[in-house]
Amino acid sequence: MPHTPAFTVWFTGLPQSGKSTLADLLAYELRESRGLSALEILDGDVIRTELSRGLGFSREDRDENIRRIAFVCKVLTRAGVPNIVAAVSPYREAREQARASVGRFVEVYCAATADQCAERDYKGNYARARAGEIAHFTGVDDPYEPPASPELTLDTVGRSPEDCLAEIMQKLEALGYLTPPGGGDAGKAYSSEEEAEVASRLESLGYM
Amino acid sequence: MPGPRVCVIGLDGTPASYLRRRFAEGALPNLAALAQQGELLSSWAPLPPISSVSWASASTGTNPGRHGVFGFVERKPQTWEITFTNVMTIREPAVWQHAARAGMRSIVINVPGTYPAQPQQNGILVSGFVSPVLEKSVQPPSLLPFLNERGYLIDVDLGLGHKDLEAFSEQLFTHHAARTRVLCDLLDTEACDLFYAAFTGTDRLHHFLWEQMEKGEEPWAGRFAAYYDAIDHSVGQIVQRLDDDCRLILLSDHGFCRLDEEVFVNRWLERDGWVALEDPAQSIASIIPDRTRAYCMDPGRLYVNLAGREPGGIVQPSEYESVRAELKSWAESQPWVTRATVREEAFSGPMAEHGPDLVLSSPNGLDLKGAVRTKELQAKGRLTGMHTQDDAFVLVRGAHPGGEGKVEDVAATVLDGLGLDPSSLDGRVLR
Repeated sequence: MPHTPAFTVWFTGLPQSGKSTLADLLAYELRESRGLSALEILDGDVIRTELSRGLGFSREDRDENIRRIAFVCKVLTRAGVPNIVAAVSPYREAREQARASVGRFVEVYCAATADQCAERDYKGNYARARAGEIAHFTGVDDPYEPPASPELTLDTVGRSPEDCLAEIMQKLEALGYLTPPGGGDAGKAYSSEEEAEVASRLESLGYM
Repeated sequence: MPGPRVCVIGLDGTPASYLRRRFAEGALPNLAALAQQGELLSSWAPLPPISSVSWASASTGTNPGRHGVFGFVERKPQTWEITFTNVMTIREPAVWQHAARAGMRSIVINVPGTYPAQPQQNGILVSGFVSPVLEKSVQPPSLLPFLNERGYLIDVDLGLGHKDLEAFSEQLFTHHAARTRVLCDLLDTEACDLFYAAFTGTDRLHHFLWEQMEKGEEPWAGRFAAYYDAIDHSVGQIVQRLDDDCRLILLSDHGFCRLDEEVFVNRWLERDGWVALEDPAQSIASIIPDRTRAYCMDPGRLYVNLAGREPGGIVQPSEYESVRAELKSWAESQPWVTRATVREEAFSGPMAEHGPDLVLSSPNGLDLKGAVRTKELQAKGRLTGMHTQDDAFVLVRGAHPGGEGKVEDVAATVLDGLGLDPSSLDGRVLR
């Protein structure tokens, strides 16, 4: 596996704009196709229950949340562990501070309007926020400041997640964070031949 | 040679009830002696009770909502293609990784779900099922000649179980002897803090010969008993190499029972209008998304065909809860389902949302399958044993923890034995 320096991919955008979906997809691709087994996802919802438990949604608390996430990214990146953040991170200034702190920083803006996000909100949070049941909800009664010059802006409504993923991978290659694949099965857990063998063994035990 | 501080011996799929029955007959003297010194606990596997999921829990001490393994096969994100879980799927560190971080050395042999073998910090790891190539299963690679000299094979030829039970049975024994040779020689020549090995031939024996054992059908019932005698002998050989103060933990990753019929869940879903399949159907890639509201992946994982998650998904996010509730109600009205557990009840942790929307449990004897190649709703195949979530076992030498165990307890007990903090794990320390 060619050695490339670690990096942070930071997905920002409104709730339900596709950040977590793309973060998971990117992680899968990096692990399976590029052999980056040591890789971390820092998901905003999870961070809120662990690292930032107790913080609220005031501007001050939101900025503190981003500062903490950025610190973890910096440490991971320094240790050679690529990492992916999926966090609303609504304030431009806080994201710019994160960029300065981390260094190898790829900001990906998931561009979708609040109405578009609300349409695919199976958790029903937009509806509850619009009904006044949730306060400080970004896109309803809290602001979101789009990035001024992100590395990538993705239309996550008009394009498929796979299309978006392809563009992210191209961007990471263009920035020198990823080496373009040499073809074949390099870096995958299972080669094509091995996959056939695995399928055969699993079928023998009734798992296919 | 200083022995390990902690030794784990896994017997894949061995039911507590089977061991108790053999002990009562005066058989399996080494295992019986350990059970007498400690307490053989009945134990529970996580959902779904299959080895990839359960061994990940046993080695990380976490539930699937944390370690991220929900089956052997997954749908590749944003496609209908399948992909196979492997060591890179596991999101929590195994106990041997905790040990390495504390400067300790581990020897890990044949634990399922550890392929491809990752470089070990001064330790040894030989991957278990599903490892298609021995060369990529061994770390450090310099250990390969040692294994080859001892005739080590990762697994028996499972295809033999379907066509030549005599040859299959013979290979089970030679394969087991080679594994035991390797384990004993490693204990004799390599110092370590943690020794973690699994015997997986038991699971293969059960899959192909359980019913024959239950019916006393010879020669298979005798072979079945003899295989456990060989297991017992191997356990004895390992135990005699351990210091008295070594914490010895034995476990199985799930239980087993007789398989009466395989239930092809996708065909039941098709019958009742939940899923549409191409004809002929090969895999979930044969699902027709625009006519499918829910589908099944092995062994009883149900997924809503959710827009935005499944390609071409037709269930809108706003309908998700009501469709899932309807699906749960449908499932629980089927005679082959005892329970349909929703994701948030079955799993907790950052990976939980990647789990199935519902996990089905079935009565003993009815094995739930995601396969779509057959058009039948249910059928009897060549396999005569199936997994159970209950009736696994765990046994810690000299310990009487009481109650029932769960597979995650093993990792917590390992870390405690190594003097490391297990408090972040889901399991309890069995003392």
